[in-house]
Amino acid sequence: MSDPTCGAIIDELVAYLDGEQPASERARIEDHLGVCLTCRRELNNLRTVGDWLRALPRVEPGPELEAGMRRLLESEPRADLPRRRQRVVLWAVPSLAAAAGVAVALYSLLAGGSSSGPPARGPLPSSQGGIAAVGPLAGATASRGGDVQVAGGTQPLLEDVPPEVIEHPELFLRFPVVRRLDKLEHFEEVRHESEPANVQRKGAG
Amino acid sequence: MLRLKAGDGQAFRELFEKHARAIVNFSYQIVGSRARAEELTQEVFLQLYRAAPRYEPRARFTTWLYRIATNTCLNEVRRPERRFPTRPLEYQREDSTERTEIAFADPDAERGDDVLAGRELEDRIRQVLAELPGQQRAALLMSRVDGMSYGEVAEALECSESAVKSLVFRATATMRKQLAEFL
Repeated sequence: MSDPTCGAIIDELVAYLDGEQPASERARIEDHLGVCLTCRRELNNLRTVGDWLRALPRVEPGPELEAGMRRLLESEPRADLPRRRQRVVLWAVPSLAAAAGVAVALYSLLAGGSSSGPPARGPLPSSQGGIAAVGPLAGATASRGGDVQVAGGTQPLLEDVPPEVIEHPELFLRFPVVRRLDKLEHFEEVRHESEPANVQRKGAG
Repeated sequence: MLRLKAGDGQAFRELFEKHARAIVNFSYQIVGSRARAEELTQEVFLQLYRAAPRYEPRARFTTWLYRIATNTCLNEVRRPERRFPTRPLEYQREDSTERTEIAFADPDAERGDDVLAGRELEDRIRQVLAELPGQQRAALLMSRVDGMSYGEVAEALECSESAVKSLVFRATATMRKQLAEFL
C-alpha cells in the first residue's frame, strides 16, 4: 500500500464489487484504481473470492424433499389454514362428500318411506341406469336421476347422487346414518338376507 | 403468496417448486449437511404456509422467504449440540464430488494433482465459510451467491444497509485472508 488513501479505498472495494456504491464514490475508486497497482491486485483477489463462492457446487434436492413436505402439510392442523382453504381441503375428499350426500338421501328415504307403502322385501332388480344397493340398503335402488326406488314407489331424493355412491355403494355402508337403518324393523329381514353367510347358504341351496 | 393467502393450494406448490432448491442450497452452506438442509427447507416452507393467512406484501417475497430461512438456519447452528461441530468434515463430499472437479479444477487438466488441488480449495472455502459468524455467513451468501442487494439482505436480516455492508466486507476480508495461499 504505497498511497495513504489505499486503506480507505480497500475498505470500499467489496461494496464497489457488489455495485453498492453511489456514482460519485465509484468514480473516486476508479480514479484510484487507474493509478494504483496494489489496489487493482486487491480488487482482483476479492473478485476471485466472490467467484469461488459462486462456484461452490450446488446440491440437488432429493425426491424426499417434496414427499416430506407433503407429509408435513397433511399433518398440519386445519385451524392454521385460511378459511377458504379449509373448505377446499375438506371437500376435496370425494368419498367424504359422497358419504354426506348419501346420508342426506337416506335420511329423506327413511322419513318418507317408513310411513307409507309396503316394506322392502329383498333386492330389487336394477332399474334402468340405476344400481341395486347391497347390505342394509338391499331393498332400495339409487338411480342416476337422484331418486331412490323402494318396493311400491319412488322417493325423490337428491338431484345429483354422487357417482362414487352409484358405483360403489358398499363403500358407504359404514357411514353413521346408514348404520341407523339396521335399527329399523323393515330393514331387518333385508339385512339378514344380505349377510354373507346367508347369501352363501342360499346359493348352496 | 397472495394467492396462497386467498386459499389457493396450488400456489403453495408453485412457490415450493420455484424456491425450494435455492433455500436448500442456502441452508446447506450454513449447516453443512444436505439432509439437515432439506429438513430445514421443509421447516421454512411450513412456516411460510402457516404465516400465509397473515401475510402482508410489505417487502419482496424472496426477501421475506430468506428472512425465515436465515432465522431457521441460524437457530439451528446456535443449538447447543452444534456448538463444537467438526466443521469441514460436516460437508458431505458425496453431494458434490463430480461438480467440484468442474468448478475448481482445470477441466482440461490430465493430472490428478489438479483435481486434488480443486478439492482442497473447495474444502478450504467451506471450512472458512463455516468458521464465519452466522450473520456474516448469511449476509455473504445472500449478496454474493444469491445476488441480493444490500437493501434486500438488510430486510432479510432485519438490520440496516450499513450493517450489511460491514458484514459482507468483514466476511469477504476474512475469506480473502484465509484463502491467500490459493490466490
